[in-house]
Amino acid sequence: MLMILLLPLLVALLTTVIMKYQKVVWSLFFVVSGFLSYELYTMYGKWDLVYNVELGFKIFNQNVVLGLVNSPLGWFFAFFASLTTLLIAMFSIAYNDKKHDSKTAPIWLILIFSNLGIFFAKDWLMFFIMWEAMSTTAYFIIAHGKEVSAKAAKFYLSISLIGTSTLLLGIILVSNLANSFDIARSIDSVIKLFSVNYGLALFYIGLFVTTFLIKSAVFPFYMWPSKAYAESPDDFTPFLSTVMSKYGVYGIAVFILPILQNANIPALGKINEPAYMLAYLGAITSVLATLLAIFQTDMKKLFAYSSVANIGYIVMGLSTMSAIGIEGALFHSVNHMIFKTAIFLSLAAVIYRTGERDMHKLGGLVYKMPLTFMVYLLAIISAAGIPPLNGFTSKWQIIQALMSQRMLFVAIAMIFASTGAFMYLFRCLASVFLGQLPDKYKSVKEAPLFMAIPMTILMVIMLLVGVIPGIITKPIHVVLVSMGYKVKEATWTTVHSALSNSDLNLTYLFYVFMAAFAISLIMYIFSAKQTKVAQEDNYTGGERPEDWGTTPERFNFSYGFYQPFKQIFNPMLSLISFDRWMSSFGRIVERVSNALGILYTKSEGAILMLYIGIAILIIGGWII
Amino acid sequence: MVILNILLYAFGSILVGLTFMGIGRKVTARVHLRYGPPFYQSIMDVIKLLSRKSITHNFVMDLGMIMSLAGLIGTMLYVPISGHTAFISNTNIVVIMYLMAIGYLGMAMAVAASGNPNAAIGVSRALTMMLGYEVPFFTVILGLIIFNNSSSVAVIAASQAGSIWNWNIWHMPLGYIAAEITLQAMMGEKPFDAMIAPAEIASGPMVELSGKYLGLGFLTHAVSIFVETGLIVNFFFGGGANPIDFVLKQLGVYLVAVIFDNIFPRYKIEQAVKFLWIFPMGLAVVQLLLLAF
Repeated sequence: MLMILLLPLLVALLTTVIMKYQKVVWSLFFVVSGFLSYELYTMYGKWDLVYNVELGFKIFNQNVVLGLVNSPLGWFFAFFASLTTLLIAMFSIAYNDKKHDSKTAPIWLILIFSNLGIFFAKDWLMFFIMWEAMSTTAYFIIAHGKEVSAKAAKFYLSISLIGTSTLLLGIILVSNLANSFDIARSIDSVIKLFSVNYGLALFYIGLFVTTFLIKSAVFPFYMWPSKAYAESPDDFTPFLSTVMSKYGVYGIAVFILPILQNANIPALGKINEPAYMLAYLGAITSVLATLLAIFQTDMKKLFAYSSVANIGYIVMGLSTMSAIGIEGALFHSVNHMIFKTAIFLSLAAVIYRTGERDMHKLGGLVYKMPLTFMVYLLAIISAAGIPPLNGFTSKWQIIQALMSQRMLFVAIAMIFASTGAFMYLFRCLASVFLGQLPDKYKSVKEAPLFMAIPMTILMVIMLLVGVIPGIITKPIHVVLVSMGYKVKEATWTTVHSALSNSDLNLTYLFYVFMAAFAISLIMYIFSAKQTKVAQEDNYTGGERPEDWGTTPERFNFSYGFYQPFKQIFNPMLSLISFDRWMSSFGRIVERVSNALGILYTKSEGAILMLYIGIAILIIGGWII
Repeated sequence: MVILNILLYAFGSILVGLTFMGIGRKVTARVHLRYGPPFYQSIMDVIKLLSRKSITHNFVMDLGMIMSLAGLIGTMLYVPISGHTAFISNTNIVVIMYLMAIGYLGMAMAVAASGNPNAAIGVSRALTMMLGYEVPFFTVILGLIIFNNSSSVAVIAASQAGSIWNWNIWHMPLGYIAAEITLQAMMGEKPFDAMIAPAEIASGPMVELSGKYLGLGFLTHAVSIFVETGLIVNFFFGGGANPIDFVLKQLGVYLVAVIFDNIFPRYKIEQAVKFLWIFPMGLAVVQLLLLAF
């Protein structure tokens, strides 16, 4: 238990010493991730593992204890996060060559340390320390010594700091109430508070929810991923998008849900008011993020918004507070880890080979990077929630749960976002991989071996989990039972539904699709032979592309792909831009801090400060 | 046995869909005061197309065309025909809607791989339109699901058995009107045919398809007609006592769409999406609220 926490720290120390040999450093990083995954795997089922460190002082008349516990929920997140890290780590070995080296391995290891700490924390002190360590280390990795990135990282850090402050305030208030820093005990005391003082209790959990929403980038804090994800190192983006966005989800699942479930709160229909608000926040997040993703031209920004939209689904699933809804949400957390890692890795491979992030400047890469294309294709099929790949199952469960809880408009929002996802996912496919191949990319090669291996593994996982959902749903059921839900035993092939008579056998679904594919293939094979023509040999209505001021090579359509659609939303999006509001707020803060800074840096200011200080001393002494 | 069944259902639906298309052409001709081709013309067309020479640009195009037909046939196998499906399953509506997306994705991928900008514009319009109709259509379905507390198409169809007055069309007329309008968009009939628009973008997605690719495209369209009208029949017209009854009801639904197709001009894409989000969506939401409360 303690070893898995100490190991990344020690190796982080070691890697700072041997920074010069980057290949060794990244290989070490890979080995550590592998070891952690194995250790976590062996920890499955040992739910009585507890580790406490007595610190020799007291706060609130309580002995301060830093505690770790192996809970099913924490294990679930930690294990899949470390598996994802393992795949990314293998990719990083190939990615961090002389040209692309970000030198972030040591900090990343500390981040992994705090990652495990958050998921295994038993008390709020531990949780807070790890949370803070995570925020700060992530800042340094996002910045990775580049000016543009540092700007984005600053934006991330300032929003993250708001979250940390509300978390600290919440922890102080709640542990004062519970007379203990223990998470489980604070849950009980907040539940009691709900029947005594409803408003105050709502305020308390509001503080925590704010933190979690900020970390997961849920509306109204949806804007930082598009900056931070886009500017962070390409091999770190998948970690940021898949693992780090789950901290908020974990926080809600471990702290907020048990309270809402058991407290005495007035209900609206089948679920209670705060959960409804949470559901609506999730719905707004996914709709807004989907719309913003549709209009992006930068592919990393596009998928940053896509991640935000996916977190929206998860929040919706959690807020149903039903067994199927939470199962769907947890399942989707893992699915999002899998397919978003696949997407970001394949895009990182594209960026590695071409050095280009704008989608409309690329094109036709399918001829040069067929494997990357296949990974991306399967990943977007999964992300769009199309069977027989994995993303479908969890989305299906969340939709079912929303419908059975009669959360009508939230369900409609989910369908909107889910169909909209199709638009932006396809846009990137068409612009990057299909269409004409620009001349300067004629010599692009397939991704190197160490990139291809993790991508291929991800492809297999996506299909496997999609066909045999039991791989993930079995541990989820352990989690659900530990959270106090009554659930039917999970099977390998079937997923249960919240509605009657609607269970679904996914292996069957896969067979059906395969049968249909076979029929289609027979029709294709038995019809007449085709001849292959050049890419540029297109139907142009008898005109030559040169007449329109273009060449056959750039006879393409990928910039402003959804221009007519954008016209519908332009007035609305310009009306409710939290992004702009935040930026203007940021400018005000900058001005004030500049003004304050002058007091220290300019000599007049320093003298002024001195006089003020003396005056305070004199007045203070006089009063006392 | 199951394999035979699947083959039977797949080819049966293709045949029915193609015949519908032929009848649709005949009806169109009669609206235009022409004589029109025979009702089996579409079947002849497909046979001809599949046996002709064709050109392809790359392997993605081949894969995409196969995937699109496979996706729709897979969807079709899940649609219950008068209570029967090709194999025993509970036919979940969310599964059907998402399986259908494979078909669209395959088609979009195939034509985008051809590299013709007209095709890409067509696809971008088709996907925009998809967002336009999917939301109101789902809202209507949501009402049905909550009404029956099951998302199984077979259960919803079976719940209307008995007399003609049990049909959902009488229970939720507003929802039916909304579904009918979105069906028009789903099948790409006027006024929602901006993605095909032969005059502006040279038939959009079809611009680079020739020979057997066009033939596969025809087959895909035929199956999609079968699936879409089949869903409407299952949801609003009681599903049908036997397969013949079912197909006749489907034909009725299809012909309504064809007649509307003949009397409307074309919307621009943003107008179409706005229209779909205001009128059918409004009707569907009112219907949903009436059902839920």
